[in-house]
Amino acid sequence: MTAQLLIQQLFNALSIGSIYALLALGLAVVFSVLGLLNFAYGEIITATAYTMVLLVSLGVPLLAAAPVGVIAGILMSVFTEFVAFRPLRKAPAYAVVFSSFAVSLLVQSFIRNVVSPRPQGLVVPAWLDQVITVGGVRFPALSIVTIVIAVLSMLALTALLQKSRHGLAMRAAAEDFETTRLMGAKAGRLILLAFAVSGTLAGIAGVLWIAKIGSATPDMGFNPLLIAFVAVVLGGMGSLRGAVLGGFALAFVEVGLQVFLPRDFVPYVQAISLFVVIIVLYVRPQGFARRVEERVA
Amino acid sequence: MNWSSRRLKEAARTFLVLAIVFVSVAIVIEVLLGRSDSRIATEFMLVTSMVIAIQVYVGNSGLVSFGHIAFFAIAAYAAGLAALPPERLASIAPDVPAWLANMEASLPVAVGIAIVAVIIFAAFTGVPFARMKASVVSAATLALLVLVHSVINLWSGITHGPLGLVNVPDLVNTWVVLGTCLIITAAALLYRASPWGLRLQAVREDEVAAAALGIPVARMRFAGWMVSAVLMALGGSVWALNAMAFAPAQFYFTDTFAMLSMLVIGGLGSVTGAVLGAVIVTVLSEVLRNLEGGLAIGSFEIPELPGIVQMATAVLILLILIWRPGGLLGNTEAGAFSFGNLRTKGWRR
Repeated sequence: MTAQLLIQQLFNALSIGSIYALLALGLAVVFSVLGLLNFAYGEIITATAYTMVLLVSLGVPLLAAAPVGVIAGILMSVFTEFVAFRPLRKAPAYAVVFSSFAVSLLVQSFIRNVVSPRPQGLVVPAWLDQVITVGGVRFPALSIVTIVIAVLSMLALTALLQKSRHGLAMRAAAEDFETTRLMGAKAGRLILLAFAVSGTLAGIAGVLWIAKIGSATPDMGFNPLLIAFVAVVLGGMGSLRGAVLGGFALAFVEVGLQVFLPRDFVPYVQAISLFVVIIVLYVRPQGFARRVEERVA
Repeated sequence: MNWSSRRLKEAARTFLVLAIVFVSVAIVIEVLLGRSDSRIATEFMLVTSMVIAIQVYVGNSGLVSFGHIAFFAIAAYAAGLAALPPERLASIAPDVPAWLANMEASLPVAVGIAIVAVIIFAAFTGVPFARMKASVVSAATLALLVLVHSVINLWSGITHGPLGLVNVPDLVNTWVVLGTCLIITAAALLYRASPWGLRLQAVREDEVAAAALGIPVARMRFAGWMVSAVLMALGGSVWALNAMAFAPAQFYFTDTFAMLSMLVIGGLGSVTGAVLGAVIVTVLSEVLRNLEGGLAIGSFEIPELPGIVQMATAVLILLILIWRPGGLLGNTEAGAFSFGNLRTKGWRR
């Protein structure tokens, strides 16, 4: 393996990993506050993607459609909170698994009925399809944009959590929700904020995701959901730093398998990487995080 | 380990009620229905018994598993491969090892092979799953389902890929189906009443308190996982020999959602609830499926509504969970009502 190829694959893993990390972060934000996984999380990506496909097909430029797509993602996340989470605040955890799963299927069958069961293509402007070649290594413009946006989003999240009052409340809630309430934080508003932040992160990841795969389908949210789950589980539930780490780890395992596996086994990459994850959990059931109660950000 | 006689009596009463239901369905099938209707009815009985098998784990542990459909798939393929005669197998799945391919297994052998295959798989996956935090299990089992589904889809030398197995011999009649239902129901009720079941329920209600009382949390979860897997394998392998043809798409989200919704609607904590949920969802889907293809009533035409069954089930789940988070019956079994209770305490919840 040449140095060129190594750099190329590292760059690919970094670009895929930054989407994965964003996806994992969005899921982990809600989990850290509520202790519950959102099974309708993938539908945030779906909402973003369909909104962008619609706007671009109406002639709106991609750069203007993207923020509207993110807003649609936030709305979907907040909708999930109101329909699947808020009415079941006192219910056991498994009830919320089912209710958010039901919202996910509701959204999917809604799209199948109202929009179309068939894929809807997104036209990506030419500048995003450009490839910059430096010393034999190909850097696609989209991958560079992906990495830059992901890093900026993570910095913004860190700033929000570290510098703002609401961020402080969220970090406190991740440690101990009840005590945070006793300190005067409004529970309902705090959870709503967590869902909005989650929707923002997933929405941004959704913009990058749809630009990468190029078409929207009703069940497109499933792969991002699975990636976020695996990354969050790997990273140790509820730890935001762990989620980012888990996202990158998953991407490096996937790219590594694609490079090193014999050709016949390449279709099995997803299955094998899930298998690797189960092995990792065999050794470390709590993921990478050393402590269960890890500080947020 | 002490068995509680009160819990055993309740289980026996519940078994009696459910057995009457299953036996009467079986008699109706034999006496009244034609061949095609009777296949729908036997399929309903087997799906119900698999929902009961899922209830053993999900209901007693309070952990959601999407992985049981993976057990179902493995059992169906193992039984199908064992039962298919070698000459038919050679044309669709050439890479099956000779010992399995040359076996034209009878019903008990095919079911036995399926159960062994699932036990190996469940034991391997059950160890890490039992040690995980409760909130992680649902996500991890979902990953397990995806893993198994993608392997079955891709490993076409063994599984015939996306096309699935066809011409599986029909080794099952209504009485075999009835027997399977009754065994699974009895086992599920017995486990629920057993000391192991009780300990797992204690873990479900309060993990920390249960651990403090000396209950080995991971071991109890593992036991529930294994019992549930074996019952799932029994139901799944008989299902395969009843269905005669199946493809990987049948072991994925649509079916996972259908079975889990039966469990949620009827009541997670109870075997009776699993049966009730299966009845409600089946009736609802049969009624709505007629709408799905579009209808014309006089001059008023209802347009085609793809996926209306799924939509309606999703809405029903949300409404029931908001109204009763434990499902319609919650943890109550049919056998919780007895004339003794009636006289002394009235109807107990």
